[in-house]
Amino acid sequence: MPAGACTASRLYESGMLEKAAGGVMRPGGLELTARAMDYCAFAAGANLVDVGCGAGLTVEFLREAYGLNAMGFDSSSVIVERGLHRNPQLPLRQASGENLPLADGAMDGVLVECVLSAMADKQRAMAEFNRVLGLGGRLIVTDLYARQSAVTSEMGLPATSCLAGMKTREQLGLLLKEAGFSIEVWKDHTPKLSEFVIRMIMEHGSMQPFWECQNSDARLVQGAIKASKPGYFLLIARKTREFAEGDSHEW
Amino acid sequence: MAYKVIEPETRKLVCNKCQQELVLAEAEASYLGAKFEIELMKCPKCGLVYVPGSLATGKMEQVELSREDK
Amino acid sequence: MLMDRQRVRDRENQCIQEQPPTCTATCPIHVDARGMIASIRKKDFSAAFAILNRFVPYPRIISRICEHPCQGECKRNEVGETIQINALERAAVDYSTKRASGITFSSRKTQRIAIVGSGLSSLTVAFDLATKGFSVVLFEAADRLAGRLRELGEERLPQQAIDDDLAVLKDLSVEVRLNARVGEGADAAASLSALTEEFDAVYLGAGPDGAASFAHELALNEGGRIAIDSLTFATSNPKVFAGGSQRYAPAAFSAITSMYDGRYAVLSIERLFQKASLSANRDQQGAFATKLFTSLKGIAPAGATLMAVPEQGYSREEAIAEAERCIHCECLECVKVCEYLAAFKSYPKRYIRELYNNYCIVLGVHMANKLLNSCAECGLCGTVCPEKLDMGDYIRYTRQATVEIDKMPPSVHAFALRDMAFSTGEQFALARHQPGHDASRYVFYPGCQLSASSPNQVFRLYEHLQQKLEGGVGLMLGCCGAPADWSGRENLFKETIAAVQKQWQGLGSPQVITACSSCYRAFKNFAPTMPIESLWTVLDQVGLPASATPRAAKTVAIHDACATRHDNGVQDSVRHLLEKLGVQVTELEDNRSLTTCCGYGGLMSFGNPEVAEKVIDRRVQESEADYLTYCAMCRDNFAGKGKRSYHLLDLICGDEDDPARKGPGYSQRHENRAKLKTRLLREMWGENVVEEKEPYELIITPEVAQLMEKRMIMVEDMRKVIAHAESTGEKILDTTTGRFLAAFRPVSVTYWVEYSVEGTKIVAYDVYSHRMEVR
Repeated sequence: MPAGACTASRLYESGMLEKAAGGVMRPGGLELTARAMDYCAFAAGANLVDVGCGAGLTVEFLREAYGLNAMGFDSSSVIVERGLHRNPQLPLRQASGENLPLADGAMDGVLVECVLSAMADKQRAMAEFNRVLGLGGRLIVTDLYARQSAVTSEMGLPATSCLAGMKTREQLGLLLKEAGFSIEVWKDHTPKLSEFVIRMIMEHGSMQPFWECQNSDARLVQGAIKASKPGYFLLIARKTREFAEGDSHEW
Repeated sequence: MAYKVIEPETRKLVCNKCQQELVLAEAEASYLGAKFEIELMKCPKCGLVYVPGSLATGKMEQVELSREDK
Repeated sequence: MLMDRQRVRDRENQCIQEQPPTCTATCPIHVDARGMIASIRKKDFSAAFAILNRFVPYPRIISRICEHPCQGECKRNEVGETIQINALERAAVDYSTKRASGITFSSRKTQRIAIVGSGLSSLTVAFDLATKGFSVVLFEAADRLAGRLRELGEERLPQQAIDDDLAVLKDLSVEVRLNARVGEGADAAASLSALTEEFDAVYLGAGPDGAASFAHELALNEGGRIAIDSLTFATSNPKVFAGGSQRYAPAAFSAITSMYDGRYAVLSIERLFQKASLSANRDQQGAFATKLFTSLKGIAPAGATLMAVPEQGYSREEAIAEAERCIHCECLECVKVCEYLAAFKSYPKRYIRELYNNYCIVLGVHMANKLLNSCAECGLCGTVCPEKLDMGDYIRYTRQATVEIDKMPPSVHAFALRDMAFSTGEQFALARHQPGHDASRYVFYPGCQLSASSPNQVFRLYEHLQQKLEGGVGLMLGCCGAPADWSGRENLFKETIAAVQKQWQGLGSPQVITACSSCYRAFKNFAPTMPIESLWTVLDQVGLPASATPRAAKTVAIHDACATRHDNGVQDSVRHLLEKLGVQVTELEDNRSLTTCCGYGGLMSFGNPEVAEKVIDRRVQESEADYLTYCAMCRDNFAGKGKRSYHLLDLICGDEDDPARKGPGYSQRHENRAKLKTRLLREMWGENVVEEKEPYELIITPEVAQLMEKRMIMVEDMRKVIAHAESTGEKILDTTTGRFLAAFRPVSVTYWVEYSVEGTKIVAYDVYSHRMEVR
């Protein structure tokens, strides 16, 4: 990989995060997923899609623990391969969140766990999530968010770094509203982020590789973090209307 | 659930008070509000924990620094 | 005490590093000449051209005919000849491989503006308005644009250059109407009043004589020309603005002034549309005096680079050579002298903002507080800064605020505070009258570090002072609290100083004689009711002990303690003493008020050991001579890095005269202080002091001792662990080696020791610590 061309996928593909979060690549692991499932109470056999599914551990979990018809898509074919290698039965495929190979309204639930912040075109992705959900369907999002001020382009992080993609709660609220969603649950789970940091250190010795994966200059990363004050959240929203072109404003 | 942070112990370590050999067990570590479990050699009777130097000056120090914002 | 935003902003604004260089400030439209020249230095003419074009809409024209007022103020004038900025602009134009930098369009605006005339001011108005998205119609009476510019001659301003520059008008969709005179008469394309009806604003740039046509529609000034406000370019008609040579006539045509007129008339037009004040907030419009300071130290005078062929301007090589002559004005005076300020690759204005942001937000990020805890708080920056900005002062304030909101990382200063606690504790603290006296006219306060480094010298000095001074010389041992102050622990500092004052009152409020400059400074600033005198000043007055002998004939260089920065008196006393001792001295270039800290101040060596090392390395290289200092920490720190350094007391007391000796380690420092107290009690006050005998002999090899220094673990910590393990039996036996592994947590740190018991001897093999609790 060319020096400096570091994106979120490099971090994920390295397998480091997998080990760190108890097998699942994000703060909170499957615990937050389970909480969301308990809240939504999907019927057995309901159609769920995990966007940014990685090696499919969540898809597997949803299928086995809840009997849901869960499928997963990830933009990295490398990771999807790894998942299929692990369990060839899993319905995993390479696809990007902005362009899901699913019919309109086919899904009862869309899971977007710790991946929205790394998406370049969030509005398009949201429109896509709206499209594939039936009216009343649930959108579940967990991710980093900026508790203080938004990360700006002046901070010099590559656009696909998950830190660069962090939005404030207000920005996220607007994003969802414009895409036709109504937020039912918003919960701060920032302690999960601290736990995640500790895990990273326990498994890998230090946070250094994480900083380096975000940008070649660890100080820039830390500077961006300082200004934005990252936290972690879980939100559950309901699709209340169809998204139409021209709904979103200038970001 | 507990993090595996030490190499398998080749030495035979004995708790002086209980005259029991230390075994690999779960220990709770805490610092500035963060709590987590790690596997360490412990006395099965009195619970005395052995923290090796490499761990103290390595990962433990990193966690302490991350909690401190140093 | 939360950090005060206004105070932060004031400090930020004190730093002048971001002030423009004189070229930019003098230029009416503030061209970034420095940036353009820097690109040329890098041989990137296209980048240079892009920079020029960013400020100047018609770069080819300006690069030929600008009057370059910037050159009159260029700092290079003070060391030779001004940089040939205008010639370099021409070089940027000539050698750029890109046509023009891409124009970024604003969104379309609804307003339409009519421009009369196509001189340089009108053309600038057209450009600026069009790029901002306004619709522009330009009326030119003649059959071509920029008539007067075209008459300057091919050599001065080629027609091609004008055409190339004017091509941008097409890109901007400026509607040009030639042969369209504006004024009265049947042959006129429109009258001024018609224009004011049809358009939202009108700009008149009709040249020095053009005013005649509008004399009856607009108010005139005394010279018979249209009255134009020189700040806002407004005329008597609120929709009509004017500028260019008609405004500054009878002065000669000035390309840059016309361009300036156009640019700022556009600002007025925008404000007209926004219904905002025309004149507010225009203080940096046009030329102004910059606050930037640039040192010319070390720059040899040099004349301008010559042109081999003047008609063609600079060749590429000549332009680069001339660009290399540019000083690249900036301040950075403090960064030049301070390793801490240099280490973070920026400058105070940015640091102040970052420190404040960090305080406001305070995040779980490693290294967030490094910037805060690396400063020595020594005041050097404040001394060299043209605006006297003292970062140490701001940092002290920020550390206090950080402690107050409980965000100061506990481990940074923990060791230093522990050291202080030892000094104010039972094993060292003391406050007594001179033996055989029940009153004290003076009290000697040697300080905690001198007592740790050279306990015998403290003893000898006390004896000497008792001999030389009448009325009783008491003794107070303890710590003045400087570590608490440096770590931002204001309450602890106040308590410590209050305790000192209480002891002092208990002795009858005597005159305090301090050996340490930091104590001197702490007491002077925070215990002003205590009369303080420096030991050096007292010795200068009362005379030296008989033991005082000068050392070797060779010269020593004086390193002033940073706490004496503003204390000429103390510095003078030291020099008198050296004279009396007959020592040959040399002054370092950065002496007295320009002295540096040795890394102890501000607890820098704990907050940032790497920077502290750089500070010491830099200082010790300033002279080949052995150093002489009058601060125990300075001496120990320099000697620790291999620099032969005397303490003034080495010469006065005549002992411990090996300047290469390393200072004692942390454990030894505690031991020295404790031993000093017991020796004083025994030998001076004749008391029987019972010393606790250790139950075993503790063997620490040099390797283990080094490990302990590095990990900042003391012998007493080790003893505590062993005592606990041996008395409770709580220890682990490694059956393969027969050694024990034991731990003890006195307060907030757990210490581990690996040791073996051999009769009455205990041998230590390893020792480490952690702050986390584990069960």
